[in-house]
Amino acid sequence: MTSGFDRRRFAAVLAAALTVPRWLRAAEDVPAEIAQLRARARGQTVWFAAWGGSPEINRYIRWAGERLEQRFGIRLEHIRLRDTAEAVARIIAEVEAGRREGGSIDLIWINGENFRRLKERGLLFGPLPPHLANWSRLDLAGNPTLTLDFTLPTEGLEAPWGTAQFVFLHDSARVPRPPADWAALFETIRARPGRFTYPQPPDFVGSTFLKHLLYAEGVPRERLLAPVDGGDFRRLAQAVFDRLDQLHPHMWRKGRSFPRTQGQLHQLLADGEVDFSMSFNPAEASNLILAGRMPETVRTFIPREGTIGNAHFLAIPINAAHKEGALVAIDFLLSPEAQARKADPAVWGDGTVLAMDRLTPEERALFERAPRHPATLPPEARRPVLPEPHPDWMERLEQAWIARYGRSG
Amino acid sequence: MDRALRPLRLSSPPAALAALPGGRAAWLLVAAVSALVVLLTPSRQALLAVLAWPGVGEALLLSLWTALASTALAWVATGWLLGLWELGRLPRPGLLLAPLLAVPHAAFAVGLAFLLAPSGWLVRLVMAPLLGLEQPPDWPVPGDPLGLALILGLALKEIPFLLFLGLAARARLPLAPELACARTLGCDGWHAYRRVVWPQLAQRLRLPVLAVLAYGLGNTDMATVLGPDLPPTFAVLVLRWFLDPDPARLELARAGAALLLMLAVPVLAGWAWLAEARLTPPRGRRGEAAAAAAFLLLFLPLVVLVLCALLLWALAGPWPFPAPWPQWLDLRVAARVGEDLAAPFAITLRLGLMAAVLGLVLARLLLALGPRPRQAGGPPLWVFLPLLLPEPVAALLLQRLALALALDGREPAVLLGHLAYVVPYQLLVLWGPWRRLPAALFEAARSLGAGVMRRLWRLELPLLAPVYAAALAVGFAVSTAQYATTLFLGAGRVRTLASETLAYAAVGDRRLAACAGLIATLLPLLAFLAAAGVRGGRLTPAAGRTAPRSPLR
Repeated sequence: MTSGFDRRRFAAVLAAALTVPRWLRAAEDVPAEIAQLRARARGQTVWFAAWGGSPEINRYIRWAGERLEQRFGIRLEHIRLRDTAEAVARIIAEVEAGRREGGSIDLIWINGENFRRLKERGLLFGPLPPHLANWSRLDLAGNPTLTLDFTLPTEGLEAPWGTAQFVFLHDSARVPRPPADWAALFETIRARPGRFTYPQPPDFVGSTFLKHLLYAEGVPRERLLAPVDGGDFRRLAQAVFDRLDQLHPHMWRKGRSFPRTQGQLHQLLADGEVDFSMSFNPAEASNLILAGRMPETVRTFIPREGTIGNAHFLAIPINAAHKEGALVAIDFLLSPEAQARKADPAVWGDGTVLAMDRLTPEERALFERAPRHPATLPPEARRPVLPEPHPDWMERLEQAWIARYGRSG
Repeated sequence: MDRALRPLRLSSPPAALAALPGGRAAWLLVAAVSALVVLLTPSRQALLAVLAWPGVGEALLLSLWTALASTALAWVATGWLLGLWELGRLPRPGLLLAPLLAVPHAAFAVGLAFLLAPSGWLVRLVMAPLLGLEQPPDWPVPGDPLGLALILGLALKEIPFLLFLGLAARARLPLAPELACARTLGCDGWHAYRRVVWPQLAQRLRLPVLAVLAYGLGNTDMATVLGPDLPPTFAVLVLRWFLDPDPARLELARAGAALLLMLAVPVLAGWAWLAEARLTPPRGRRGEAAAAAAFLLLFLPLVVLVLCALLLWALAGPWPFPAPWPQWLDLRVAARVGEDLAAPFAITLRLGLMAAVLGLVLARLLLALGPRPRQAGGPPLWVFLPLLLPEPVAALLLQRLALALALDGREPAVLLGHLAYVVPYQLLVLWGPWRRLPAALFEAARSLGAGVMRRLWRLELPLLAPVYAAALAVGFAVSTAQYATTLFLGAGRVRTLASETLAYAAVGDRRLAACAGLIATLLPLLAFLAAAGVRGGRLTPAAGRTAPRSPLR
């Protein structure tokens, strides 16, 4: 079912879905197929493997679980991952051990190289769209990252859950005017010794910071969007490591140690040990301020050249024990109710994947309820958005970084 | 003041352990270890891969250095403090020790890290106002490359443990004649303590201090928070290999545990034979006394500050540098904590209660199986093995056992792991008092026709009620504090307050980390206080309905 994906059938289903917007108006008014799915899903427990590194996101997932239980009689159990690769390795190991059904993970939060690993091995269930009532309301036309995950076509094997763009956080009480572009950022790092650092790869925010250096050091975009081998990588990424060699002595603790997670970097900013932090969530600063974890003076900036934007997805492993429950859970997570709550900076502040023009006015109003917090940049200030490089780059960057600066695992 | 700790003091380390000859203990270790290395089944390839790992030599040295330095520091400080109490120069610690014993290592580490950090409380309270600092200095603490923060943390946390056992042991040492003799020979009080009391105490503290050393070598909770990174201590490397998504790393973890074991054996044996005897309390020269006094002056406030820091952070609103106090206390946090920590709280409570009760049953069974006559011998030594193994080693072995029982990765497996630590401590609590039960009384009961259960229920339980209560509290506290065992046996899926403390510290949410740590401190503390309230030692006549039947009828 997975490997033999039929693009034509997918398009047909998509078209069919688009012609029946009537489904989506009211919860009771769903097609027979979806109603059957919900009936079969009732009573299932869905094991949801999702990165657990943010208390705010964990709280949102718990809220979604409560709603799923109330509405559909589904229990959502959050398996908190330190690194999504843990769950990917587990799925691969289970299938290799012959556990092709009754697997321990029903739903996984995923993108990038983790998606690639499962897709390449044919370990994802799908295509998902025919089973999702809310699929037709996604902004697939307006946002190409919803169907291209780190340059790889998603082919309906994962459903977009949210959109993200890399941003820097800075404390405006200490740095009133943030650097305008990359050159200015490098200059600031040198001029303010010990006040900048980044999370140690393989933390994904730290790795993403390194990917920006590829752009900043002038590696051509079309090169970054294609796979890369070891020789080419060494040649093209040399400038990145030269730059790091140059900057590390000016960083926090002279670049001899790094925070292990983006959360620890946020803590350093909150404690005033550094002046900058970074995140994949443009509303992170607002979210942390509203949670009382960051000073009110923290603001967000994006260098003039732009930053990487991507989407993150939900997928179902081929051996999931509770596929019906997982599908109903995805459908709920794509609903205007769940998406609007997720977009609220006081909750999470994650970008929605829904197209506003496909929502009813009442549904749109859900999104307009929360005014923009001053620590979040207005949408027009977030351009340009750079595409994610091919997953090869991320993997090679992480390995090269650890070989060069990291002496631990 | 003292009363609350009285039942705890019953948990004196049994004479049996003190009588444990160094040689026999070491041989036991060597034999056990060879068996265990085989059980860990590291492949030669994996061992070579571990040795080739970048920074592994530094990591091993770091483990060795931090464990030895912190143990030596704790040992000398314990000898010194016990001496001051002996001579009545210090007030008895009384209740003060209870919270220090109850705070789990993970929570203590999080509190101490906040104290020592460049943006931490000490800088805010002392340096910032003096120097007018606007931003924190760029110091590599905690996590300094020499592991000094880790050494301090380990020593501070272990001193109360050794003190507690030392005080209990002292209460059982009838040394009045020897001390009188020493005085008639012209020794002053301090010398009499050094020559007469301390050697006996040191002997009785041998097992505890070896456990402290083994913990130092294998700890992952304190080393993650206070120790350096790039590379971390060797035990932390083993933990990371174990938790790595790549299944090939599991082999590395096994080989690493075997290597840690091979390192631990000579270190523990070396300590028992060499270091312990040489590290005596200072002679009492003026310089030494001043150094010791300075240490004491630092030690007590530091430990109290750590607990205060945890308490404040648990409730703090915004607290930017260099403010010495939070701007306000935020009660929204409390509401959120209820949501976030409800599940780990329930699991911790459930595991703790089950481990305490099951452990007590097992410990009592072991007593019954122990050597006879009751007055001689000690508890079976193998029970104490988990305490003498570095944590990752014990945890990996227990994980194999759990795998064999098909329990891996679930709560029963974690319970099994906790029991391995709970039972030995409970046995320590029970052994002495149980041994001293009047045998004649039980003989009389038997001749009156009372069966095993009846004697247990009507005689032993009432007589030993405070001891059993203390054993339950100790078992609960030990279970609550388990970090590595919980992580290894629960495959990271069973979340207790101790593991959540570090999980929240890792994601930079100090407030939740402090809350989890604080609750994990309060739970065992409540258990200790409840146990202190249990009275006993007297037999009550049975009510008419259950009056013993005459065997003649």
